[in-house]
Amino acid sequence: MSADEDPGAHKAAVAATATHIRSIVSALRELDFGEAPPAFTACTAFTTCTGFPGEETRDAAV
Amino acid sequence: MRPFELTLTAAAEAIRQRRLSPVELTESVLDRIQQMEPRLNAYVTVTADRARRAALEAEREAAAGRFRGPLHGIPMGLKDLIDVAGLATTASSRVRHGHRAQSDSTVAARLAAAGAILVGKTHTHEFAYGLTTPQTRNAWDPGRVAGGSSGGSAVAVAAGGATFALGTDTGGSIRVPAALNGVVGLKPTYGLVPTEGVTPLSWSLDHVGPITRTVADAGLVLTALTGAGPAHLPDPAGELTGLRVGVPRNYYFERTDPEVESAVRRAIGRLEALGARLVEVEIPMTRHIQATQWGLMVPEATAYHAPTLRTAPDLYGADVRVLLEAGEPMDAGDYLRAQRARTLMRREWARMLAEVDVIAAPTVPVTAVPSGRESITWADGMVESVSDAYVRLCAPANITGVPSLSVPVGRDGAGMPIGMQLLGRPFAEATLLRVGNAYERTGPALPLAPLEATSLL
Repeated sequence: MSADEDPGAHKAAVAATATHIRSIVSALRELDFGEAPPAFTACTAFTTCTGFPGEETRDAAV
Repeated sequence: MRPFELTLTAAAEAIRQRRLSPVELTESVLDRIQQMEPRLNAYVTVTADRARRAALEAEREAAAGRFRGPLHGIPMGLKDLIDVAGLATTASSRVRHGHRAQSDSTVAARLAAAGAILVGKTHTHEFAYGLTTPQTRNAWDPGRVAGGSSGGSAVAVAAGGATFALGTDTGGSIRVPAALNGVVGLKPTYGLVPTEGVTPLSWSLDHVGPITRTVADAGLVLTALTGAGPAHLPDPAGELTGLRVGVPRNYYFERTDPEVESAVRRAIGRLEALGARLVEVEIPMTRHIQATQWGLMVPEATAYHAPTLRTAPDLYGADVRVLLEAGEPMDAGDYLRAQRARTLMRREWARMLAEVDVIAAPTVPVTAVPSGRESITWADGMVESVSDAYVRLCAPANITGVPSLSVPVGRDGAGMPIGMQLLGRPFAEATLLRVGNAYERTGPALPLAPLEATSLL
């Protein structure tokens, strides 16, 4: 059944899913982030984003 | 052996030695697609005419002694999120009705330049937002899910309807269908393979990578995708002396089907027999893996779809529309916490991966479930949705960006394939390929999925 056919059921499904997502994501509030910055993906060098020490270089990828 | 049954490595060798022509191989694969499609529905579009023209051109080049490399004349399928100029990128969605890609994605352009021949665009779970690909059937049992979201690509390769294919992976979407259909799937390091021209699900978690019959095949495709120099192909001797293989003592073997666990532990035993040293590892921050994955993926997916969610919501499938709309209330605080959790998780994984060279674990905790099943009840009474179960063991590699290679390690009592994933340090794909290749050489590879079995439906 589409959302058009039963808009009430669709709204209920969205609300239930949103509640479920909120309950899962709320676990992140337990963490002590200290000074950790967000790991945005605009980093140009993987090492500076990841903190992975001594990575193999991109040339050695394959 | 019929041409469509050849692995990429074998087909490439046969073409290079002029024992097989690209035309013969392409016709054989197109014929196989015709046979399998009514039963499996792996493809959105089969580009037969285009493929025949490209094969003829590849044949002319071969006759003139010009070989572009190991992908010369090799038929491939591309997940239908990947732009190819002049073709629709449907994302298996009505939202994309009438779409035409203006230019090639970077990966499509690189593969075409390497001589690969597009035979069609493969089905995805709509916009890659799901783990089953309901349009497509499992190559080994059409009553079971293909896995997703790159279900069409994995089924095509497993059944011989493509010599290799590309998928995308945001929470396991290459590795899950690869494991469920008994083929190899490689999610490379985040950023190694360009995603330009590939419809995103979640920018910070998306990866593009190969789905192939063998580990060596995956190495050949990865080389073409990265635009790198000659491949450091896996060590043919298969010797792993001194290599440290991390075996998780938590998380990866919890709530895992006993048959999956036994097959993966048996495979790890084979790595040890090849000289590897097994080292127990503790997977960090397991309580926050799902929260981080959802905290990143949900708002990014909803943000990407916001315009069409406003103008054409009814064109989405019900499940995907609900997920996208449910993401709207998430705020910047949720998203930033997930990004900061990712920073912490990457640091912890870096510490763990300093102690071992690879980690070996199940790809998914359960094999392909019957189509329509929505949840799994574990021995401890916990009920988990099928999608959550399939994502659970794959998500850490998406969050941290580390590479992960799924290889087939047998089949369960019902005949369904089981996958083991090998995870490594960023840009250590060569190590994963070496270990995966060494494992593969310890026993016979899974054959192509037989169409005869699927004809029982």
